Formats: sequence, C-alpha cells, structure tokens
Amino acid sequence: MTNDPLEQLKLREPDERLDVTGESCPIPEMMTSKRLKRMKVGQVLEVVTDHQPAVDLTLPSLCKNLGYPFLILKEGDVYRFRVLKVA
Amino acid sequence: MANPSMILQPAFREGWIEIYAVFALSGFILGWVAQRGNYCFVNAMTSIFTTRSLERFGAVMILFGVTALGTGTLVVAGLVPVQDQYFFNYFAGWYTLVGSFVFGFGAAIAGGCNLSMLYRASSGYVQNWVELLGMMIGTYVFAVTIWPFQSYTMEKGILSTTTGGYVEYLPYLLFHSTSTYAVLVTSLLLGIPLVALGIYLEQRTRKGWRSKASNVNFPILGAGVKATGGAQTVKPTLITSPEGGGIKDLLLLRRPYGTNLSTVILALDMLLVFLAGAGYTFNYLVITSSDGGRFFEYALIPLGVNLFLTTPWFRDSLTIVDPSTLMVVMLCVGAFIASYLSGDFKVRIPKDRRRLVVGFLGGILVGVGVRMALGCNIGLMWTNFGQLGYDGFIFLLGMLSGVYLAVKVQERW
Repeated sequence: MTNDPLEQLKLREPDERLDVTGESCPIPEMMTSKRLKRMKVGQVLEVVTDHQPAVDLTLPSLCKNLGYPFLILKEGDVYRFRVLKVA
Repeated sequence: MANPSMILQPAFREGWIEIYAVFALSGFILGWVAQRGNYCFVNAMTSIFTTRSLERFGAVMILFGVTALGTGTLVVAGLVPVQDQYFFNYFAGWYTLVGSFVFGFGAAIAGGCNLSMLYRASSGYVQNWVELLGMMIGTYVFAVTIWPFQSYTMEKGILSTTTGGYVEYLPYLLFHSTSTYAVLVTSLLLGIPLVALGIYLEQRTRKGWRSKASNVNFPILGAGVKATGGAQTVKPTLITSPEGGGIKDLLLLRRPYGTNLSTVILALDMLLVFLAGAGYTFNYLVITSSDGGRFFEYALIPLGVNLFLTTPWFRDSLTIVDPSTLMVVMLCVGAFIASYLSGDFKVRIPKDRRRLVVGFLGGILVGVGVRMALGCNIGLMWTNFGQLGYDGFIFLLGMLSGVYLAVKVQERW
C-alpha cells in the first residue's frame, strides 16, 4: 500500500460513505464534519453530493481547516469527495 | 433643540418607473451574485462551530463594514439626505434577540438563511422549496400567537424601544446629532473595525490552512484533485485550488465567484438601492421575510381566505406589490438564470426524505423568528449596518447563538 495520501484516496475503497445528494450548504459540511469526528485516523470517507458549491468551497475549506487531504471525483452530475482522516 | 426630521427626502426626482427598474435590477444582481458566489450567512456561521473556519464569517464582516462606510459616505457627501438613512430603523427589543435566535436555529437545520433559501429554491433545491413553504406557515403561526403579545410590549415599551428612526441611529445616540460630522465619525467607527476584523479573520484562517498543510507534510492548498468520468477509469488532473481559474472562466460561468468578489458586488448593490430608493421607499435590500408572508396571503385569497381582513400582523402590513416585492421576484429570476446558464440548475430532492420534514419545521421557525425580530438577516441585520443602527449587532448575536445550538443538536442526531 502506498503512503502517498492522494494515491490512497484514488485507489482505496472508502471506509465510509455519506450521501448528501439533494442537500445544500450548510448541510454537507455539517454532516461531513460530524461523520469525520466519529471516524478513526487513517480511514477514508467518501461524501456523495450534487451540490457544486460544496465541492468548490465548503468541503475543501473543511478539509483545509482540519488538515485532511482530499480528492474530488466527478461522475455525471454527482461528485465523490474523498477525505483521508490523518492525525 | 428640535428633534431630527422623520420625513423622507428623495435624493433624485426620478419617477416610480425608474424606482421599480432599479429595484428590479438590484434584485436580479443580488440573486445572480449570491448564486454564483454561494453566499450564505448561515453557512458562514456554521463553519465557525463545525471547523473553526472564520473565512466566510470574515467576508460577512467585510460586507457589513463596507456597507456602513458606503452609506455613511453617501450621506456625508450630501448625495442622500440623512433622514433616509435612519427613517427605516426598526424598534429594538427582546424580540430582536429572541427572534434572531429562533431564526438562526431554524435556518441552520433547514439548510439556508432567507437569501440562500430563495436563490437555492430558484436553483431547483426542493429542500429550500419546503423551507419557503414552512416560512409562510411560520408567518401565520407568528401572526396569530406571538404578534398580539409582542405588539403590546412594543407599544408599552416593555424591554423595547417605543419608536425607531433617529432614536436608534448611532450618530444620534453617540453625539445627539445627525450632523455630517456625527455621521462621518460614526460610519468610520463602525465600518473600519468591521472591515479590519473581516480581513484579519480571513487571513488567520488561511494561515491556519498553510500551517496544517505543512504539519501533515502534504500540500493541502493544492491538494484538490478533480477528476471526471468513472471513478475507476479516471485520469485525475491536479488543480491548484477548487476555486482557481481566470476571469474568462468567471464570465463564462465555468467557476463560482470568490467570496470577496461577491462581497464587494453585494455591497455595491446595497448602495445602489440606498441611493436610488431614498425618499421613496425602503431604500435597502430586500425584505424577503415579510414578502414571504405576503405571498402566503395572496395564495389564500382564491380560497376565500383574506388574512388582511381577519388576522393581526397581516392587517398591519402592506398588501400591495411594492418595489421590495418586485426585488424578491427578480432575485429569484436572477438566481434561476445564473444557475441555468452555468448548468447548475437541477431539481434536487434530498436522498434522506426525512430532511424534507426537517426543512419544513426549520422553515416554520425561520418564519416565526424573522417576524419576531422584525426582519431577516438581509432586511434587518445587514441593512441595519447600513442604517448605522444597533439592531444588526443584536441580530448577529442572536443568530450566532441559534446557529451554534443547531450545530450542537445536529451533531447529536
């Protein structure tokens, strides 16, 4: 297994999924923050959203604040925002 | 000494057609920019408590500060008569604090403040349609249960001022004067610290990002990898930031407006209305909440129910279509066109259907809260900073408290 966080986010199956499709801010950020608090260090969370501002602004802001690497995948109208919880 | 004038005085001698045109344009700009900038007061506050991120809250502080400086400058320059700045200052009282608390809580659990509720409803978010419906019901609930008691306390001055206007105008409170000097000093005292605080909060948050990025030996600021196509077959492209891109991308609606760009445009939009509407009508940005209540009133008329004749608050409020109503409609039009042209428009229903119930209940609280406070985060809080009053501070405190409680409740669900 690679130690590169980006590679991990790309290749690893997420440990948990959070589906917030149809929701707008502040809900995706609040729910993601809540879920991350309950997860263990080293786990990957995948947030599924169709709210563009969440992937453009609020979720990256959340990750930057926590210091967690993230990666965004787009599938049609839906985004898969993956976060690696680090120490 | 004679009391300051409470008679509105136009800045220009334009006709009502021009007034309506400017308000329509202003509403359009508000909806367009808020949609493109994803401007949400509630989100700016929730992020303080969820991640201790103060960047968007800092932008809101800058918005308030620039608005106070801008309206003050227009008055000091003699372009807008001073009474047009304080005329629409509301009564302040216990209900401002309680109402803003209820509003903040409701908006945070429902998924949007009054501004974001409208522009997101126009972008296809069913959650915000439900919230809007809840707000209308909440207005009725308020009218029949709370308003009789609240209006009594307002009349008697029980934990309330008995009049608004210059009585709540900070230049008058500080200097017992509405002179140019008093307005200048007050707008500087109010505006400069707010702008400085906003810039400080933004810088502090970004500094924290850089620090955390170096701690984990990972370039967080450049960490967003955006990939398109199927998750298993993608060829990811490293981007410097999800917000990055050039002016061309902004104009072609390929990327959202940055927070600070939105802040500046929205502040200028407020000043446009302040100048053009002076002497004619409520010369600040939309009174979304009371218009929401009025739409509920209009919707019931075909059913033979006329709240204007039978129900307190509706009886006391305007029932005609005024520039503010047009502004709300154009806000929705601007947001719809912006979302449609950018490809963002889509009817979206929350995956978790229980969220619709929460949105409706939150909307009711939003309706009750804004009516108690005598306005929402736009028509009262932001506006009041432009009015150089103090209700905006009370509302800010109450709303922050309500949002904080909502975040804590949400964390325990």
